[in-house]
Amino acid sequence: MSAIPWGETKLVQGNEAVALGALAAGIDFFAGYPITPSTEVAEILAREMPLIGKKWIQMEDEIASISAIIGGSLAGGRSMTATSGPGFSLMQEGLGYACMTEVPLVLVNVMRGGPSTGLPTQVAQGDVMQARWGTHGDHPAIVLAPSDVKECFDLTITAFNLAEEFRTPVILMPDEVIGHMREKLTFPKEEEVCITPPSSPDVPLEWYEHYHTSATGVSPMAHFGSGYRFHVTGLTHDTHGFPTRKVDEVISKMNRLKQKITRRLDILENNMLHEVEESKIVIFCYGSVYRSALAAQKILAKQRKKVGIFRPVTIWPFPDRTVKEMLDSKDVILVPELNQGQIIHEVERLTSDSVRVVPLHRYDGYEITPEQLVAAVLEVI
Amino acid sequence: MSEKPIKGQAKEEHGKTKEGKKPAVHIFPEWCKGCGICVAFCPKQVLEMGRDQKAHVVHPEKCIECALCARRCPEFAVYVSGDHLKEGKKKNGGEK
Amino acid sequence: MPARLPYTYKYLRSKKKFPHVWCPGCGIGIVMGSIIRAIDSLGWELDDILMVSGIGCTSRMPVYVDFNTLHTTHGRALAFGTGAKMANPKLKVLAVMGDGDSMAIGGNHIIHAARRNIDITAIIVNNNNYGMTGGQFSPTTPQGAKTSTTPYGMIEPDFDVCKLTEAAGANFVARGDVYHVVELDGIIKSALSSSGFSVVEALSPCPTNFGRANRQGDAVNMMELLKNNTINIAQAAKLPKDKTEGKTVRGVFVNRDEIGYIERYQQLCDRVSSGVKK
Repeated sequence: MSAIPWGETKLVQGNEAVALGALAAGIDFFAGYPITPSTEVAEILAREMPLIGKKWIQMEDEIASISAIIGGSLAGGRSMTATSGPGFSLMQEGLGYACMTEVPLVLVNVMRGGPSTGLPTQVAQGDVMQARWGTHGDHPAIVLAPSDVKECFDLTITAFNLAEEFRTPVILMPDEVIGHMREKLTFPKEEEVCITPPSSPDVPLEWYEHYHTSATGVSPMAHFGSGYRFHVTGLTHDTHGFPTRKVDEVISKMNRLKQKITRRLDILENNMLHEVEESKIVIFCYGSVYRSALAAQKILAKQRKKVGIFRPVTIWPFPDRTVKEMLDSKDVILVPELNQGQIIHEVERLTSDSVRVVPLHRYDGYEITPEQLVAAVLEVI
Repeated sequence: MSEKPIKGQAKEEHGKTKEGKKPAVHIFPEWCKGCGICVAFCPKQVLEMGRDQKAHVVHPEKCIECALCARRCPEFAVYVSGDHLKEGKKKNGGEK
Repeated sequence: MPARLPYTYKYLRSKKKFPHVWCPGCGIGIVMGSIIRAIDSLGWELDDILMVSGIGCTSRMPVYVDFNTLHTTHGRALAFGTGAKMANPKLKVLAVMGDGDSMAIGGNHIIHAARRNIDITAIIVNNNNYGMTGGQFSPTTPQGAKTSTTPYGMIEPDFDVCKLTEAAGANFVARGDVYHVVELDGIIKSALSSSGFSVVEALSPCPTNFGRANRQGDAVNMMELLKNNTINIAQAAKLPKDKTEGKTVRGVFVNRDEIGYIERYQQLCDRVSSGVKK
């Protein structure tokens, strides 16, 4: 009996949907550490994974957890961890190591009130910039923000696929409301789920280069014990993975890390637009705030007030071109966030002074309500 | 290392022993960093430091192939021919 | 007739990487040779071995050997190794660390690796300081010793690596040193053959930093110190107390065969997946 009720409709919690999405994606190895509000992911997988002979472990801390899944991924296992703010901070060095060594993995960060211990059981979106720049040095970042329980399931599968496709960590960032809420979820049929198979090289052993330069900037990756013996190090390295300080090799490695993202933004970009085209005022939001925006849009429509909604599902890489094209001609862009203003800086960067970018910040641990959004829109009309 | 046997890269000492037996111990000067460990602890004083700060085989005839020099060389610069090393059989020159 | 390659060279990655990076007289190369001889005598396949390391002088070893090799972040070799072993139990995982890498920043991971008894062999090259960064003290620096961060002498007490890992639960715990190299070969071979978590502490000179800071002379003098200041556990038992005073004991201290973590987890899977719900 697979844990996933394929094709059925159930009342499911967000974190549960993440766990089931990981199982659907063919997770081989989970390593994590308890932390509110993501612990349910670990608990559900602790129950389900041994049943199917998959490896699950609770490590001694979050640093050990991220380290273990990198080791697991290099050894051939599709690996994931789940954490929240404080754990996410502890995982940053490991995350950077996985970026540098181009190891596919999924890191689920359920956002809670910060900084520090903050509001452990309450919602916030304060880790957005940390998800992009938390670890030191220039590095690629792929971050997905679900807004409902179905997306928790679907985007976990997408995260595994993108991690494999881009050979890099992918961060799934539901905020606490999404992680803890329950709602109806209609599961797809099993055959409808598409899984990116793990890459494997098809060159003779002697020719294998762990970081072979290729058009997409990503090359098929062998696993430890597969017969291809190779070296992995966090030191800047050449195409074989051996440490180097030669200027041309350092530059080509750093460019490889950057261009594997910038060259294929089309695959990564994923936005949900509602009447953006025909509205002069647009609400730019993500995660759980999107749900309030949808409600506000309905309320305003009844008052024959038109407002658009632009929601990035992939928040990093940020959809620069689309935001510029679609929003640079608007009168007002309202940017509600459950923090003191983070993604708003990206919107401001991409829009000219003629566009009024209006912040709406809530950081008291509670959700931005549709009424707050309606009031904010009425103020600027 | 799967490459061919070492040819020019590491020139070895080729002294002849009294009975014409090829000496057991060989030193690769390119890899020797002159730490002096092999010389100091060879039970039969077969080796000596040269003016070039490298170890040299000076009394190959005294060598009893105990291979302590090879085992204690941090640089993989010393090896003792003959495969007794393979079975790890300890010749009488084990460390005290 | 060109010299035939020493049999140990089969395990080296490529001669282009030699001479290696460690200082003249540093014992890490000796430990590497000992590991290679132990692996050769066990007849392991290169493809089956994963050598994982953290950060520091010792951590540079994987680049020189022709195994699956993983040079990770400071202190985390055992956590990376645990993940790799769990995901691919066929791998024979060997973690090489320095005293700082394993006992300071890696301290939390080594005690849990031992508690779990994960099937990894940890080889700790203990030269009593952080060599790579220029000779700072580490948790194994003896009291009173001078280092670049204890200019007035180390005031903190140090760890006994073997007692610590024994108490934490490791199946196999032993101490050797790079002077008594034949003994070290045997100890490492036993550690590699032991199931569960095995620990080998290999005392080693650091002439450039620790040796100079504490006037211990050159590499040869430091090897003399190892020769005179250590004693084999069997010999120590035969001698009166005063003879072994102040000497560090070498040998195998623990050799249990408690079930390793991999097998323990496999038993869980077998138990629950056969429909027997707890």
